[in-house]
Order: sequence, then C-alpha cells, then structure tokens
Amino acid sequence: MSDADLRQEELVGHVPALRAFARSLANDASHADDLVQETVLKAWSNLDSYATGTNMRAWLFTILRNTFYSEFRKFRREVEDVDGKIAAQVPDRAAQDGVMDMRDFEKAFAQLPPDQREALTLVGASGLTYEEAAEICGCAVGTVKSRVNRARVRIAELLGTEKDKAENDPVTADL
Amino acid sequence: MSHDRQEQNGRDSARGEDDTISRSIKRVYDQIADEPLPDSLRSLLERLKQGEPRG
Repeated sequence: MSDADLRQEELVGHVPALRAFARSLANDASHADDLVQETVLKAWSNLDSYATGTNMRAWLFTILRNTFYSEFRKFRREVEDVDGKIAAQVPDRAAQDGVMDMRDFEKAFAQLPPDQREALTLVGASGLTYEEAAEICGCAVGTVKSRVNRARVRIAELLGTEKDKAENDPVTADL
Repeated sequence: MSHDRQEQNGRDSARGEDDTISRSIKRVYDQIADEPLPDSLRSLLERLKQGEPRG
C-alpha cells in the first residue's frame, strides 16, 4: 500500500470523530454532515500537504472548524439558536443510566456558544490535550481552559445543579 | 463540621459535577461517532477512493 493510500485510509478512519465534532459545532445533524463532507473533500484534495506522522485528527478538525466559522460569519443568523428551535429538535436519547438526563444535557449543551461547545468537545470528549485544542482553535491554552470552565459552569446553571448544590451546601442551606 | 471538611466537601461536589458533565459530553460524542455513516457520506468516500471526487 502506497503512502497516499495509507493517508486516505487514515482519513476515512477519522470520519466518525469528524461527525461527532461537527455535531458539537453545528447542532443540526444535517448541517454537521454537510460540514464533514466539505471537510473530507478539502482534506482529500490536500492530502499531499499533510505531514505524515503528525496528528491527522487535529489537522482534520482544524479544516472542519475553519469551514464552520467561514460559514458562520456568512450565515450568523441561521446558526444562532436564540429561540431554542435547534435545541428543541435534539432527538430524545432517553436512555437513563443515572448519569444525567441526556435530553436535558443536550439541550443545555446546544445553548452554549460555539466556541465553548467546541472547547468542551475537543478536551472533554475527543481526548485532545489543551495544547492540541488550542492549536486547532488558533488561540492560547489559557483561552481554551477558560472556555471549558465557562461551558461547565453554564451547563451546571442550565441544569439547575448550582441550585441543588447551594441547597445542599451545609454553609448556605440554612440561610 | 470543620471548615476544612466543608471546603473538601465543596471541592468533591464540584469535581463530581465536572465528572458528570465530562461523562455526558463523552457519551454524546461516542454515540455520534458510533452511528453508521449516512449514505451520502459513504457514497462520497467511495467516489473519492475511485478517483471521482465530485461524482
């Protein structure tokens, strides 16, 4: 198998992860798959520029992210979910295993701004380091950490866990 | 309850909350990654392998 074939095979192997990352940015499944298609086309035609031995997943995520934000700037109003319409379309994966109601979680996640969704996904789900996530996002490591932290706080607020925590806090519960 | 113990409980609570969020985001991510590829995407990959990028 040639080097080009190996690169192509590796690219194909990253498509499932690309879909998951795209969904975190776009929320809408159809839009996310359009992003993946565009990313695959761009990456395939530029595989020669990919440096073998480096992180192809990070390279692909960067292409997808740039594609998303390029569209985002053009169609900002279409991707904002100000009235929760996209969040309301999140399919109900009602599986309950005692972790968290996934529908509630996905609705809360969908309400985060894109930069926080991508930071949380890159670091919390795709297994990338803060440094790798920062490189993909084109920002400082501290910025990624800040976005992840803000995303966690916001999700906790949206899910009401902050309230629960305050009520159970032995210091504030009786106030 | 001592102040130190209360602080420790607060840290444990925050850590547990973070763990819950981490597990949830990971589960959503894995569910999507485990989905079968849509026909449109599989078709595109086939065309690319055959050297017909814009099919």
